[in-house]
Amino acid sequence: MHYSKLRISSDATSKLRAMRQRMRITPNLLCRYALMSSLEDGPIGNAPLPDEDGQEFNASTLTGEQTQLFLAAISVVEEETSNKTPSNARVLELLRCHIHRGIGSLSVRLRSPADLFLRKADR
Amino acid sequence: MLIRNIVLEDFGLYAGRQVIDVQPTRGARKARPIILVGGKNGAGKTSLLEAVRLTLYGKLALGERTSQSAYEDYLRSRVHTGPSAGGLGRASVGIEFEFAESGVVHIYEVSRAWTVRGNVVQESMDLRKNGETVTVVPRNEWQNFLHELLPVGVSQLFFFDGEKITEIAEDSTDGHQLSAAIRSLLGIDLVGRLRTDLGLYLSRNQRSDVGSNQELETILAERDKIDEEVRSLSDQRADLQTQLDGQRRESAKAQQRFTVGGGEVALRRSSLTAERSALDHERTTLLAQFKEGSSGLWPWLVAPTLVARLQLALAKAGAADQDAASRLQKRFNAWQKKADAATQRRWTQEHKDDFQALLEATFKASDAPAAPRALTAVGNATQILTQASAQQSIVQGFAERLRTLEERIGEIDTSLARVDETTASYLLDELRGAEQSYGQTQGRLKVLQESLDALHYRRATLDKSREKLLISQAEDRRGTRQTELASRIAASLAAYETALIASKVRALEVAFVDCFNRLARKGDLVREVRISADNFQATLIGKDGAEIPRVRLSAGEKQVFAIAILWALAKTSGRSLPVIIDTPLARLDSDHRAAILERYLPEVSHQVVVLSTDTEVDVDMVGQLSDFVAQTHHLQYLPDERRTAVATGYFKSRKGASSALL
Repeated sequence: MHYSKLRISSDATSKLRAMRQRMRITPNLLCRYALMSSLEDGPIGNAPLPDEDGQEFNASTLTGEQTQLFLAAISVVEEETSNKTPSNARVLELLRCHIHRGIGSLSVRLRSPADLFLRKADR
Repeated sequence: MLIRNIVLEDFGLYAGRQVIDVQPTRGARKARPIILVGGKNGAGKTSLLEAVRLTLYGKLALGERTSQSAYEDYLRSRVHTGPSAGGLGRASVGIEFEFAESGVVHIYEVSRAWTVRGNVVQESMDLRKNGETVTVVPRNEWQNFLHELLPVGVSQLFFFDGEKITEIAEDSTDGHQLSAAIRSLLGIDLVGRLRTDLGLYLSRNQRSDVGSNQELETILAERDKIDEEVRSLSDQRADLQTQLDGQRRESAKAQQRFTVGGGEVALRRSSLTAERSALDHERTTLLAQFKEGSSGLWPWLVAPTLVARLQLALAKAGAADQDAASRLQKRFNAWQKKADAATQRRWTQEHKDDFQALLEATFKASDAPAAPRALTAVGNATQILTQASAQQSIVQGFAERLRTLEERIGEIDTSLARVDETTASYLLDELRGAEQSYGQTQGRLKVLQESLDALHYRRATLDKSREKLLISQAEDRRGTRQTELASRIAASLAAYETALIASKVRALEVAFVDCFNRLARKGDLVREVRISADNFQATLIGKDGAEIPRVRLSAGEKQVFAIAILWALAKTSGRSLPVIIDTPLARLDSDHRAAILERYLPEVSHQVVVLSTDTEVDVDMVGQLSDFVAQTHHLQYLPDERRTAVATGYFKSRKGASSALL
């Protein structure tokens, strides 16, 4: 499946802005980490949808060459609870949800890029 | 061309008339092209380079389209003001050079003098050929005459400083710097301007499409506006840079005073600061690696459990499909054998084929477990995931190293703060004040640089749309004879430009590989370089045929890259000019330094003037170079007289080495 543009929540946007300084990478790449980190935390189910008042990304910058695999990973994770493959439109909603949730938790957890890859026990 | 000497009179830190002889000599077997000019920071090395540029280019030396008043301010600021200054408000710079014209060597003397009276700056220029004032060329054409002798764009490849090297080395968009250099080297800007003018002519004469006419004019107008902004920001940047240099000197002096007067504490503080800056440097490299990884597969590595699950699902899906299909096939075959003759006859080969196809179609699409269907639809899923997992250990190493670094930096900062808290010292306050204002200026500089980059980007976008417009115009066959003619000229100009760039880029590629490998420490690191003729992006190809990403080069290697580019450009320019380099080695490690010293400096030109500090080219290195050094000069700042004295010999503090030289 394809999408061309995606708008994230205003809350996530302002958190991204704050994180940018610490993490030294652009918001689109931070979103990829946020997505993966949220997926690792498990399905999001029927959580309320975040608003769409924040930054807008092109698909090519947001998920880039790996778009298909990112979206597939969302389907796989979410099927756990609903037992059926989400529709295309739903996958995009879930993409927004996961990015929103991921940014929320990363913004608390990350002090430096190193924190992305080291377990909590290592600290 | 060969510069015989540089004359400075009450210019900057130089009091009175100073003549610095920079002629290379011939040794017994080899030429000695290098002239070493040593001086500590603030001793006036850069003034020498400035003086040469100013002499040759006047106002243009400060950059294209510098305003007259900015230029006059500059001249005013460069008049010597030490206690021994005559108070006449007069200064001059000049050079004497040999230039061969149709096989005959002529001696030219150029000088530029100016006097400052109140608000008025009066400048005059003198040009002599073989001792006589030039009369063949009228006085007001002298400047153009010099430009033709040595174009500004070309001179940038021969007279440059460490700053320029860093600019090219750190140029993340790298096409921009290179593109400017190549274009000015070839004079291609002229072709571009011609094409734009033709485009304007065309659009004004093509009544039919008013739209494109206005579009082109809008683009050109906006581009001019951006140029204006870029210029003003560049000016601001230059101001800030000067301020920053001053603050750096200030803070170095404060450091010195503190070291002398601060005792134990000062020693500890300076060792901590040194360690911190080394760590900072390493962190920058790590962060570059992080940036590259993040746009690749690193994001997958924050979800190891999920990745493992996906891999498992993919493997199972494949296996399950195979399994079910082959079991059914076997059953069918067995049933066929047992069936009676009539049934067997009814199943023709065609039937069997159909059944076979049905089996395949079924198991390919639907019977797999629901979960991985989204996954199996992604063609390269397995490949991506495997590649991601393979980077696990690299990422782990990166993260651990970064964490160690950051913890150590934190410790150092705490210790530094403690040192600072427990020491009540006027000298320390002074030092910290100096460091703080240095840091602030640096921050402002960075912000400015970002907006400049944004402008450059917008300008590049505009240039692209202009290009598109011009091409579509050139292809347009409608209109009168004149416009048709103009279209055809535009088309051939475009073709000419492309071909010209392509052929020069080819030559540059060859020269670059040669230069780079001569300089690089790791022998034949680079087998080939591809420079794109569209955006001048340089891609290095290693000896195994794989691309070497720029971020993987160390800071030192990037500098070598930049120097090799400059060298290759100078070679391709086909001009035989002297090279003047200001503080070239500041950021290189000792191995790269040795390579630059031994292989670059002696070979790059018949005359190489090196302006350096004692830490950059130290006494040992001078020893290594001694076969190639024709002369050495030493610039010494005399604080009491607020002037710089020029003496022969390199840093004299260590007698053995300098006497071994001359």
